[in-house]
Amino acid sequence: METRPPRLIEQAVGFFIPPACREHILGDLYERYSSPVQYVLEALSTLPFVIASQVRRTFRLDLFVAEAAALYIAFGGASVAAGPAYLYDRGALIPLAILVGVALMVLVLADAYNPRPGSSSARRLEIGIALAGAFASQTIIRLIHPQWTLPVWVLLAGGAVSIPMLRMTRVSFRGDRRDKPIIADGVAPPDEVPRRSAKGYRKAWRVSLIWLAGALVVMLNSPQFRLQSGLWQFGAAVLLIAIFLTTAVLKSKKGDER
Amino acid sequence: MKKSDSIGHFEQLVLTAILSLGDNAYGVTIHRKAAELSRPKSVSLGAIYVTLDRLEDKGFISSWLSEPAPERGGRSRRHYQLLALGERALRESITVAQRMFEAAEQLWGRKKWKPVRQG
Repeated sequence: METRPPRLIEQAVGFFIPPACREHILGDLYERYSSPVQYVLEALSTLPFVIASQVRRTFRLDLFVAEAAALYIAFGGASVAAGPAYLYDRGALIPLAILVGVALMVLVLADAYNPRPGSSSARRLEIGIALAGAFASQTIIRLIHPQWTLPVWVLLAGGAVSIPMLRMTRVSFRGDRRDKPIIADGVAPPDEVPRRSAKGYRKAWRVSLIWLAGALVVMLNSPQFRLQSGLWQFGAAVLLIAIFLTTAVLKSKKGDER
Repeated sequence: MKKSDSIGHFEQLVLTAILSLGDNAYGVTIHRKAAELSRPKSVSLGAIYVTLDRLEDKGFISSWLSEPAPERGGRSRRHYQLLALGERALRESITVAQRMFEAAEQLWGRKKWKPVRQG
């Protein structure tokens, strides 16, 4: 009688267990093995808990909010081409929310499966999978409820804009693999800490710049925005934004002055 | 006591299982012990893993991977150990449970209330 789980089933189960806990959970399931059916049932009942626990451990609210903002700005901004207020007049906020929600869910899962900052190609792959998941959800919804989908050109333009935005967000929040630990061989180089903080500071201002530019695009696209309603209000808003942009550009260049 | 220092019923169960298993506390044995302690209620293996992760994040337990074992298909065990903070939290929760037990016993009397024991 076979006393070990079938290799194929074991590999399939191992594929779905996050790498951080794969080794010992597969070992535990192996130890408890009595029959293929028992193994599969136990693995199926354990997997959701294990994935949820890993998601809880790797979830970062700041990254989540930043990614949600990036996706909203990218896809909201992409609708500019259809004229002002396209998203609002067409009632496209629900499809936009579905699209952003699916992409965020995939990104959260990607973090659970790969908590450490990966290579730049791994990062691009995560974003690609998230967008592919979002587009796939749109295709499925189009078959059931076509009103809850965004036009293809918004998807394509928004997808193109969101790739660099998401990539930058993830680099800024999750760190870079090129950043080696500050303390190497028990010694911290004296100039390393200020260098790292200056780098982080510059990054933060660059992200603010992109957010601001994106927010401006969405703001100009909203139905409330009417240039005729008050030129002085528009002028004041532009002035404020110009001041903020100038400050952000200057600060992102320096980084060592705080 | 901070909120993060307090433990729930299931966490109490898992901590007790780890304490009683000593050096042999890992996923399978913890699950077996917790199931034994919580009879007649069943305990799922997944819930044990979630609780172990949470307890580790709270700083109540620590874990390490053992050498690969042939009886596990050459895979390691993740062993768990109770830390001082976890032991204190467990003691406090057991003290509260003890006080509740005594209060209930006084109110209901020994004859009227007998805890159900499963054979």
